[in-house]
Amino acid sequence: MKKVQKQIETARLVVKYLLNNLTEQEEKEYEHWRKEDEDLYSKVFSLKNYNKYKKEIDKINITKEWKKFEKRLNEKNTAKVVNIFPKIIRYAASILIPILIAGSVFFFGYKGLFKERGQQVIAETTIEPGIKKAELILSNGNQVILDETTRDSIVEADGTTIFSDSLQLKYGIDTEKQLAVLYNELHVKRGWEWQLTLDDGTKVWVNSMSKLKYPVQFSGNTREVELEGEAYFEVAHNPDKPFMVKTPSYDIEVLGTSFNISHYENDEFSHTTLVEGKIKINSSILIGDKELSLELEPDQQFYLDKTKMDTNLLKVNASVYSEWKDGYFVFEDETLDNIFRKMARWYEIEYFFKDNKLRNEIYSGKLPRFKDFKTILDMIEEVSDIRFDVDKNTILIYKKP
Amino acid sequence: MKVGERIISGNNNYFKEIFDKYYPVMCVFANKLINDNEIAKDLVQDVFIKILNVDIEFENEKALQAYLYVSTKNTCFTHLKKTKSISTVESAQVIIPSEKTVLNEILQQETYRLLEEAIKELGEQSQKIIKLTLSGYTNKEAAKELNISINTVKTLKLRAYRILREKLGNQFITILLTQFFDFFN
Repeated sequence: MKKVQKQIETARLVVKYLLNNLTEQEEKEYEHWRKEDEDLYSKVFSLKNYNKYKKEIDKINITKEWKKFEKRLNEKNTAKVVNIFPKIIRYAASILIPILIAGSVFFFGYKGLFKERGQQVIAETTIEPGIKKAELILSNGNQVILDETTRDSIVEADGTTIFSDSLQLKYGIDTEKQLAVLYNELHVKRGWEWQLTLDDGTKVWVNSMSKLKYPVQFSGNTREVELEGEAYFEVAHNPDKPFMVKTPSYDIEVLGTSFNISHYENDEFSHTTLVEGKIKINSSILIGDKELSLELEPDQQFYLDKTKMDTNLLKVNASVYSEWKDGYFVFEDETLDNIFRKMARWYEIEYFFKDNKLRNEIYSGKLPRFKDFKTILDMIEEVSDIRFDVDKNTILIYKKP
Repeated sequence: MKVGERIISGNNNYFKEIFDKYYPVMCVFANKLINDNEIAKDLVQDVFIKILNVDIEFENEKALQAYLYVSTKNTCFTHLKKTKSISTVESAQVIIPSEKTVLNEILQQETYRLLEEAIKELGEQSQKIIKLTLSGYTNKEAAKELNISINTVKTLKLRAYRILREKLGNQFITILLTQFFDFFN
């Protein structure tokens, strides 16, 4: 890089020479360069080369190129159109991006901030972050609360042992064939999250306000679970027994892979994002006259607009959609509305926008999940024009006048 | 991307300025490395898309400019390597240019760019005179070519030089003093 910078500076020197405008000092430097690199000197001073350059430059239509560039910029979030979709909504790209907050700035800015405002934080009421907690519904309908203090094992009616340690739930493998399929349900409420390992070794991280229904043991030719809300799956590889996740709108067929599903009832959209491996989306939604069936590659996202029943395939950075399980909120070009809807699943907050236009403003950033909410708000205020009035658990969102 | 204190995104004027200023020269530079006009343009588009999305803070426009050259070079090299692996036989003669070649090209294209940029700011008549001078015309020849008096040529030329000097600025001198030592070591 330094060498390149020097070339740029030398170019300036040469131009100044051409314009008879060198100081004594510069003249010495210029002469030095000229003697050292006679070859290059004669190349630069070749009229033929200069004219060639001008000819090439004149061929470039900058207005046309800029238009092409703008178009590409708008399309950067939209993957190649797959034939089966007659209509593609350009979701992510169709909205303006007023501010792009770099994730690292967002996050690293936090330490300094905490020092400065530490005292202030203590004086105010804190809104605690969510916790690792879940409610397990056994096959007989009994409810068991799981949290960080739970260290227990439960035996299901079919003999399967469910181990619960402070952070997760694990289903022991029972070699004996059971007669009836027993189902458990995991209810993860507002402000909770939980991790579990199913009896085939598949790991599931279940996010706030979500329900997962699954058999205590997988029997039959497929492994089927049902999801409402958001969960991240790391599916144990077993080509003989496909893994299926059913959501109210579509099914995901899996062959051994990691992906994130978000399908909340109160969201107008649902999306499934593939981190690695391969998955297939199947649904009774009609595309043209065929039912939807679509294979996803890593870093692709199946996006469903539930109100319009519009489907779309987007190219995304998949890690953005799974970092919640590692303790971060990551937003990439998301509307404030969506950002706060997600936050409100984790924090017990009510929020209002002073101006409805604010809802559609786009932001990016990375925020820690296990901090009290005031810290989060401070971090947002630090890097944007968004301001908050906080009254207990109610937050009014407005823009700096 | 940030340049100095300014946050740059796709829909701001400063970015458009940068694009207008450097996109053409990067295309010429890329074309020198890969010898394909159309692909060169595409690759440089990639470079500009990338700088918008990459989380970098450039100290100033100069740093950004150097980055553009390096990034364009890298993108072209990646392209060359890829083409090589696709059809090994056909393009077995694809040679990755040496560092020296690349640096020479940068100096050359940058010199011409700067010159054109400075000249563009001049009046039409002065532009013509400077271009003729750079092409080796004497005052007398230039006067004949443009059908004006030799004194007019002299006056316009002097004025043009003064404007160009101002345009190229004195900051250049201080930067050189601090950086030139490195250059020859």
